[in-house]
Amino acid sequence: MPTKNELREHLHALQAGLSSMTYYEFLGVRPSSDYVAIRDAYYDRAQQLHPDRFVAFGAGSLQRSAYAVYKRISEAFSVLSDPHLRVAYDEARLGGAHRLDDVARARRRSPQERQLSNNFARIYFRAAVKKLERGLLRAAWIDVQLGLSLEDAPVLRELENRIITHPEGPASLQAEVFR
Amino acid sequence: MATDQEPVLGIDLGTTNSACAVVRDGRASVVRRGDDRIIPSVVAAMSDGRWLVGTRAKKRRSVDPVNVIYSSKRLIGRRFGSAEVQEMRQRVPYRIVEGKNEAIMIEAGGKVVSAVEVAAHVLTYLRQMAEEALGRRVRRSVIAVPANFTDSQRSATRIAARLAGLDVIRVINEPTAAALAYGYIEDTDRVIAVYDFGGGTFDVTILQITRNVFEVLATSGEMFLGGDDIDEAILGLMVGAFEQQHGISLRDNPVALERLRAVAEQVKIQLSSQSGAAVHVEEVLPGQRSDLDFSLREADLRPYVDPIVRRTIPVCQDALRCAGLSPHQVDEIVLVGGTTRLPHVRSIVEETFGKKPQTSINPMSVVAVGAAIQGAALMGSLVPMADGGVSAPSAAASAVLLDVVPRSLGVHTLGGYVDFIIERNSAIPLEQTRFFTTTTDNQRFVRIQVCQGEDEVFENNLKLGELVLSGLRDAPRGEVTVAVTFEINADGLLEVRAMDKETGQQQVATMRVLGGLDDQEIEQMATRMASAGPGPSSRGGTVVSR
Repeated sequence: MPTKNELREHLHALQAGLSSMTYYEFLGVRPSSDYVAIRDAYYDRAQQLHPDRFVAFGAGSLQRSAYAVYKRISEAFSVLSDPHLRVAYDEARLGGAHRLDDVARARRRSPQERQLSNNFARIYFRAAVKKLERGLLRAAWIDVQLGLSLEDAPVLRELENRIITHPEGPASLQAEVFR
Repeated sequence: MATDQEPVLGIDLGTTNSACAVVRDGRASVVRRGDDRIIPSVVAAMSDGRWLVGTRAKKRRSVDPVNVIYSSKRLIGRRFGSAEVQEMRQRVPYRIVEGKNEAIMIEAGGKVVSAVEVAAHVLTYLRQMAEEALGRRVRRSVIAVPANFTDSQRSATRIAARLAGLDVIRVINEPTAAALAYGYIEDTDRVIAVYDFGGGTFDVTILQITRNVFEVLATSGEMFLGGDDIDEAILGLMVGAFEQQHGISLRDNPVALERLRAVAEQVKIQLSSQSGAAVHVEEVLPGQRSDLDFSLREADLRPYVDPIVRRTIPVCQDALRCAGLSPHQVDEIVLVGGTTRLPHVRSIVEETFGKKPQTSINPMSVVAVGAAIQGAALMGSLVPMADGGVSAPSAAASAVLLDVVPRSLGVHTLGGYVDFIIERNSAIPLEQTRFFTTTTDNQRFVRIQVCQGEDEVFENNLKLGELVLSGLRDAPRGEVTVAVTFEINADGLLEVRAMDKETGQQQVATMRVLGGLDDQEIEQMATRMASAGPGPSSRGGTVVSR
């Protein structure tokens, strides 16, 4: 556990970096880090710097700093933990941005996507919908199965059903499914 | 850690009963007054202007039902026109009327009070009870609310606490508090089902704990299902027994029924820990030879209780389905609420989830204990020591809870749809900015309607209120863009601010919360509360109001 002074320094360093540090730097990970490393870094930062850590000091400047820093930690994690937003962010970063702008971050989810709570199930769902549109039934079916393994949700079941009962569905897929 | 630090009161303000707890010397304990640890959430208006709270207020139900306010938690922070409030109007003997801005007011004892004030009376009672027990002033508190409480309900609860002289350092979800009481906050990731079967409501919440992040995966409930239904079943048996013993039907005798209902509740409580209960009620009909002898075995009660308890099963299944989980994926089941003490309830829980629930902490006080633990953790984290380091708190005290937004937040768009701004299950605190542009020339204000919920159609969600951005500069349409930042703070409460994108000028953004109270009304309530004196403590005994 860091001492109070170390923590204060850490907090102030991050606060100074609000206008320049990348999400990766903010969480202390590399741009090549995978999801698990990013998630672990986020939890560690959260445990150390959550505004709750500073409640005992009363509503002073330290708590306000912690609040500002923590909101950016949440933002960094919400972008980096969503593969689509992370891609958009990496592109923006090439253009010199340290932060993904509000419009890009506020990506609208479709009503079906909103019914899924697992981030990755949502990605498989989105991928499966696209593949189904392009007639790639088998690939779509695999994505749906992967999604279902993460979250057994009605929207994924419906999509699975649409793939299975697709008029152009190859007999082999149907045979495989009903086997 | 400083030992003379002011304790933080953990509060469970329940629909039927309330309790509070504190952590002292590293141990959580429930606050008691005499033998009472559980206080009925009942407030009674007396004809002389006094207010009674708790057990004494509850006793008034059989003599003066129209002036006894119970289940007020069902009303707090809602709009008068909502289905729940209209349902309550049908069910309760006291009068619920519409106040300003769709607020809910209650007429009792010749006065009109808001649902917030009623809650404040109960909270004042709890605070004073704690102050007596601890022998010191108590101000700080952590207050627990249902996981599905909306922003308006959370705000209203906070206002009630403020009126009761409490400084709320955190609003915590009840199931999270229950899980905290059991210390589920180590490094292991777990899925916990919190089965909360109270006096009047049933809720089940599926929590996922990942490295101290408490995520509400799903919450489902029945608004009117609880121990009251079981009391009603026992009452039916008692009425039958009375008819057999005396040949008189009590069906049309509300006073006798209300009196026997209280006895039925006692029988239920006895059967929660014993295999049989026997009661003798003198003069059920006053002035007549009409004593009732009634005995009941737990095994004989089961067939009557079973259909009631089974209604919880589909609710559990619904929550699991929403969470995308099967019963065997639940690691622990935590019981909350007095009704879960009935052996039959426990066996139904075991049947539903395929494993035994946790029962080591009293389900009537587990939420208060968890709230107290959270309070201690908040105040205990990072207490500076002389050597410049920090104290080494225990595992539970050192963890920080990361809560998530229970419902999505959106704004009204063209065609009656919702543009979602903050998605559910995002970790809080967080903020998200949206841009709004004027649609007519020289438009001076923008009106934005805000809702909470998951439906694409605005009307199907809970409308929180309206945000009005005023004082915009004169410009052709489309030239003024206002950036509106929606922020959910650490208590899960919504804060809104707005800024003119071009000029960087801060705009006035006022959120009119439906069913909410304005500052003036809160002020008036505070005055009424203050004039109500020291509250119904054992010192003052009674309270005088206005």
